[in-house]
Amino acid sequence: MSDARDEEGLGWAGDDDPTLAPEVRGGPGAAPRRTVLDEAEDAEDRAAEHELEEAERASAQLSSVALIGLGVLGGVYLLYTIGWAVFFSRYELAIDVTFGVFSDLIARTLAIAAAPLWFVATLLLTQRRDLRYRFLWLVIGVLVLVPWPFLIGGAA
Amino acid sequence: MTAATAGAPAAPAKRGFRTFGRSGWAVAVVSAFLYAYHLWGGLANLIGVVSLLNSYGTAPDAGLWTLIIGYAVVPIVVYLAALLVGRTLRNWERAVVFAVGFAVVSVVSLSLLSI
Repeated sequence: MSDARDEEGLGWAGDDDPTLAPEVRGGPGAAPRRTVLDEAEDAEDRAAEHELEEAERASAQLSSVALIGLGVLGGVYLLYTIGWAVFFSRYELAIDVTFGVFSDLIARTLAIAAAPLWFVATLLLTQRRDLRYRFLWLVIGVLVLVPWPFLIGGAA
Repeated sequence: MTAATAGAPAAPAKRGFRTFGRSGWAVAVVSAFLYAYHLWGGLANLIGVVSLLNSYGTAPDAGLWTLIIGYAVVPIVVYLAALLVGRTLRNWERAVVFAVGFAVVSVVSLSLLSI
C-alpha cells in the first residue's frame, strides 16, 4: 500500500546519517555501569517504600480492632457521664445555701466533668505513645470513674 | 480504687523530677493549692464527724474511721499520682493531668460517701 513516495513525507533527508544516532556510552556490548549515586537512590527508594508499608500497616490496625475498642470505651465513658449527671439531678437543694451545700454542688459538677475530661485527656496525651498505653489508661479510667452513687441508688 | 490511679505510671520513669524545671514546679504548686480545697473539705468532714459522735458519747468504729480518713486522704493520693504521671510529660500536659485529677478527687470522694 505504501510506496517510497508516500514515506517521503514522514522523514527528512539525511535521517539515516550514522552521526545522528543517539550516543551509547561505553560502546556497544558494554552494560551501563551503576554508579554509587544510583545505588544510593535505589536504597533510598527501598527505604521509603518500606516506611510507607509500615505506616499503612499501622494505620490499618487502628482502623479495625482499635477503632471498635475506642468506640466501646467511649460509650462506657458516655454512660458514666450520664450516671453522674443523673446523680447530680437527684440532689435536693437546701433552702439556705451554706458553704457546705455550695461545695457539695461543686463536687457533683466536677464529678460529671471527670469522665469526659479523662477520656479527652487520655486521647490527647497518648498521641505520641504506643496504642497500648492509650487503652491501659482508658481501662484504668473505667475502673476509677464508676458512678457508685448512681448504681447504689442512695440519695447521698 | 485509688490504688489503680497510683499504680501504673504511663511510661518507665526514664526522666525524673529534674526535668520539671521552674514552670513545671509552678504548675505543681498551683495545683497543690487547688487540691488543698478538697483536702480541707475532707479534714472538715473528719473533724465534724468525730466531734458529732463525741457529743453523743460514742466514737467512730473501725469501718467509719477507714471511711472518713480515706475521704480526707483521697486528694493527697490523687495529687501524688498526678505528680508521678506527669513526670514524663511536657508542661501543659502536666497541667491537664492535674485538672483531670482535680475532677477525679470529687468522683472518688462521692463514691466513698455513697458506700
